[in-house]
Amino acid sequence: MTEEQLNRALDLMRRLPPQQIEKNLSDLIDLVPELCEDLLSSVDQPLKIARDKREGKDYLLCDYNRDGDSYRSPWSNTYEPPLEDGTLPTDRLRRLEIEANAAFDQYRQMYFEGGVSSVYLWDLDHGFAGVILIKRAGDGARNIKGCWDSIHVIEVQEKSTGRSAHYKLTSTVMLWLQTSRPGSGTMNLGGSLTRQMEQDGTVSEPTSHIVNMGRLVEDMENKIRHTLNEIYFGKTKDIVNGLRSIQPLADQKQKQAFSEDLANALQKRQGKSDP
Amino acid sequence: MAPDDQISDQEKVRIASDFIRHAPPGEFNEVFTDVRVLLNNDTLLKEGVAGAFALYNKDQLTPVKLPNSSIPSLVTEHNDIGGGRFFDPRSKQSFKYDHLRKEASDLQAWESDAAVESWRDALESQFTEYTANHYKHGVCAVFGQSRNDSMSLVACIEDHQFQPKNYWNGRWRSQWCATLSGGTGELQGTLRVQVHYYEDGNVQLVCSKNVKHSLTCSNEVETAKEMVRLIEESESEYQLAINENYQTMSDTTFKALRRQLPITRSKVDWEKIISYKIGKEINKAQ
Repeated sequence: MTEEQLNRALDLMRRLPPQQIEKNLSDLIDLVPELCEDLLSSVDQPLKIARDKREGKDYLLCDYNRDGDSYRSPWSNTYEPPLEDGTLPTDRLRRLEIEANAAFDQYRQMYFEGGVSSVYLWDLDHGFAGVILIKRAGDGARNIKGCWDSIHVIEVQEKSTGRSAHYKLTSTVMLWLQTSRPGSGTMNLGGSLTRQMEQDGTVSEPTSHIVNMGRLVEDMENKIRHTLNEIYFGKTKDIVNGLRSIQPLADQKQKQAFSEDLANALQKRQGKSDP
Repeated sequence: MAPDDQISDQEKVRIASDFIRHAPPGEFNEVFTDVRVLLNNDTLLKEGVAGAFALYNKDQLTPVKLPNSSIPSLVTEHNDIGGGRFFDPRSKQSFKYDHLRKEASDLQAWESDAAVESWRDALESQFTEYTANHYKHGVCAVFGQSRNDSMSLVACIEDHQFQPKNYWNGRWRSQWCATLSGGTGELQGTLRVQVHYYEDGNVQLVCSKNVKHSLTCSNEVETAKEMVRLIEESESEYQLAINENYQTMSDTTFKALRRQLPITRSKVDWEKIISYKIGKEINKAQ
């Protein structure tokens, strides 16, 4: 019963307006408390920012750096509020995590020219997994509030030779746009798209993983950015303009009838002038 | 989880009803089934949540086919006469409406409000022509109500496109209320658009706008023409403004969030990033 309930809950989250994700998720957990952990780990939410006071840097919150009610900062590797024995990555993995955060921080700057990023890694039996998060809020220019949230979950299966690995990436990008203006009232265009990609990569040293993950995430984000552009500003706009026509439909019917008549007349003329 | 940590039945009903009422256009059945399985209490569903079905259908200005008429009507708060019945002013009938099956039945004759009927009828004529001219599959309805020294006319339009096989649905709703008294009147409009796209994602457009105009009313036909003229102007202006926003959102806002490529015009050199960082770390360790 719980498996079916989880599927129904996920279906519901795909249908309810994403503008109220947090409220919907909270209500859903209240309604079906047994699904709490499953829901928190499978429903993407807009990323929240926290401040690492020790390191003077912002970091992002998600279920992967959460332990109870505390969150681990990727900069100081400590929990806030402090935890006695919160889950920490192994030393080897923590070294890689530090490198990954630095690398993706640069990636973020090059593509987003602002915003916050965080990378969290955890061990698996034959490899490791991680999440790369990016949050970029717009500056409100032209009276439009915008925000981009990236959630990239990557699974790295290291081959027994240690010379190659298989990377599986599941990415969700959330894009939020809203405006309130006299001419158009309130307009809220928001939500997310999810895609999956996988590929193999050669591993010559530990940091090769960062190169391989980086390339995969970059390609994925570029693809999703393109699709977001098409869906948000192409598809949904076309649907709106299909619901109502600014031009009177009678005019359009007339125009169509006229061009059909014209085509027929031209055909007839051609027929007559043929020898 | 301990039984006393469970929320009350009242809270469950509130949550279930909220979910139902936020179902995107064309997806009521799917949301209903989801809620039913999650609530897992058909008695509570029937007793506490059934009211939400009616509220949803009325809020959506749901079109309804009448068995003996070629022109559909709308289910709204303005033609709700209680007991699960609604009236259709166009065909002068009332009907029982099944909110789950979305079907009309048990048609009976219905008498219109004589004091306002000529005004309502004139507006219905103009408004029906306007709807046909701008909404390919639009359905409209005009309701009239007289009070002591004033008259109210409500004109609604609904048009939708449901394409679940292509993972999208959309609906346009217009609601215009005119209050006429003496030789003047006020026209208030609420325009709403909702689009849901859900192939490998969940993207929704939710728009609404309120409009106000003042009216001068002479006779039924002239007033109706004046109203429709203002309505056409407002709705087209609204649609243009939405399109303009799309342009700005894509040209300005979206571009400023994430570039297509870094300023170098080529993808990131990850090897370079790593070697630079390793250098820094080695230096730090010394």
